[in-house]
Amino acid sequence: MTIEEKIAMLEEIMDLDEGTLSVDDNLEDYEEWDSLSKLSLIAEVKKQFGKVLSTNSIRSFKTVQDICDYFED
Amino acid sequence: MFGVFNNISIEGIQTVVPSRIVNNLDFADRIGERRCKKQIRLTGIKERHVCAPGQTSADLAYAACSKLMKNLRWEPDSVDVLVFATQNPLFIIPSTAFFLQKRLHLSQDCVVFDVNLGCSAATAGIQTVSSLLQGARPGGRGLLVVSDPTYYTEETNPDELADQMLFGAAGSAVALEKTEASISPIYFKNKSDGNRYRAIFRAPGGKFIMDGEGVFQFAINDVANDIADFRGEIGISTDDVDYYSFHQAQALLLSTLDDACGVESEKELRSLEKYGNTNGSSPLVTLCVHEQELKKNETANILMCGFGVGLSWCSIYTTIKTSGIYPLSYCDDIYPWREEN
Repeated sequence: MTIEEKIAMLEEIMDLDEGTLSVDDNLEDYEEWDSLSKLSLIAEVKKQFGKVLSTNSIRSFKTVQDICDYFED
Repeated sequence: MFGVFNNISIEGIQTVVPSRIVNNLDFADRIGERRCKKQIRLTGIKERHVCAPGQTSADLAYAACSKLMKNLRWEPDSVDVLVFATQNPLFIIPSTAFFLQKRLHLSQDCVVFDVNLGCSAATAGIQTVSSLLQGARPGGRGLLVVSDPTYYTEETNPDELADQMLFGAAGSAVALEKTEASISPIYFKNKSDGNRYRAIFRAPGGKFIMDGEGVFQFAINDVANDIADFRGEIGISTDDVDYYSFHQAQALLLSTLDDACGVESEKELRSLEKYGNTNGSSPLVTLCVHEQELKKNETANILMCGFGVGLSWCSIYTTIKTSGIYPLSYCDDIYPWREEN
C-alpha cells in the first residue's frame, strides 16, 4: 500500500472527506477517532493481514503516521 | 468441550418480542448526528423492540414457552426439564425458573433452574438441556428458554447510550426431545475463559461495562478459530452447512468473523437490522425471523454460535426440521408478580 492509500483507508474508517488527513496529524485532535473507528481498524487489519490488532497497539497510535507505519510491517 | 448427542432432537423453536419499536436514528440528538449515523452503518442495527415499563424477562420467557408448548401440543406434565437462561432474573432467590414452572403448570417431576449466561445462552443452553435429558425416560422432554429485556432509555451519556442502542428485547424457547429416531446428531463445542471475566461486567448495583475492543478481538480471533476447528472436528466442510446463525453482536463484527472462518455471507442469516442485539436469544430469534426461507426445505443443516459474557462461546451443529421453526410473534403482557403473596 502506498502512503496515499493508507491515508485514504484511514479517512474511510474515520468517515472523513478525502484529503482531510495528513501524516503529521494527531489522532486525538479528531473526534472521529472514536471507539467505532478503532473497531473498524481492528477489522481492516484482520482482513488484510489475518492478525488481531491489540488494544495496546491501538493505544500506542498517536499520529496518522503511526498507523501508516503499522501497515508497513 | 467438544461432543455429540445422538439421541436428542430439536422439536421446535419459538420467539416473542415486545411490539414497541424504537428507531436508533431518534437518538441522534443525544449522541450527535454524525456518530449516530456511523453507529447505525457499522453495527447494522436500525431498530429494536423494547419492553414496556414493568415487563420482565419472565414475561417474554413465559410467552415463548407457552406458545411453543401449544404449537407442539405438549402437555405441561410431559415436560421433564426447564432451564431458564437469563442475565436478568426476577429475584436473587429462588431461580426464576420456579416462577415459570408455576405459570406453565409444569409437574413436580420437572427439573428446573436458571443459568446465568449471556450471549452464548442459546447454544450453551441446548447443550445443557441435552445433557440433562440423558437421564430422562425415552421420549423425555426439555425446554430451554432464553430471555433478556431491554427498555427505552433516558440515558444521556453518549458512550453509555451508544452501548444501549445495540440491544433489543426478545425471548426464545427451544423444545428438545430424547428420542431413538433423532434425524441428526447434535454436535457441540462449548468453551469458557474466566481470565477475561471482566470483559463484560456488572457488579451488584453497578453499571454495565463492556470492553468493546476486547470483545471484538475475542470474536474475530477465538470464536472464528473455533468455528473453523468445529467444522473440522465434526468432519464437515462449509459446503455441508446450509445456514449459519450467529449471535447478533453487530454487523461489522459478523462480517469480520465470516471472513476469518470462511463463512459465505449469503448463508449467514441475520436479524439485527430490525431487532438489534437480542442477547442470548439472538441465534434463535434469527431462525424465527427467517422461518419462511428455512421452510423452503424440510430440513436445514444449521451451525449456530453464541459468544459473549464469561467469556463463553459455544457452537452447535445439527439438522433441524424446519416445520418446528415458528414465526416470530409479539408479547406485551405483564404479569403482576409483585402483587402475589
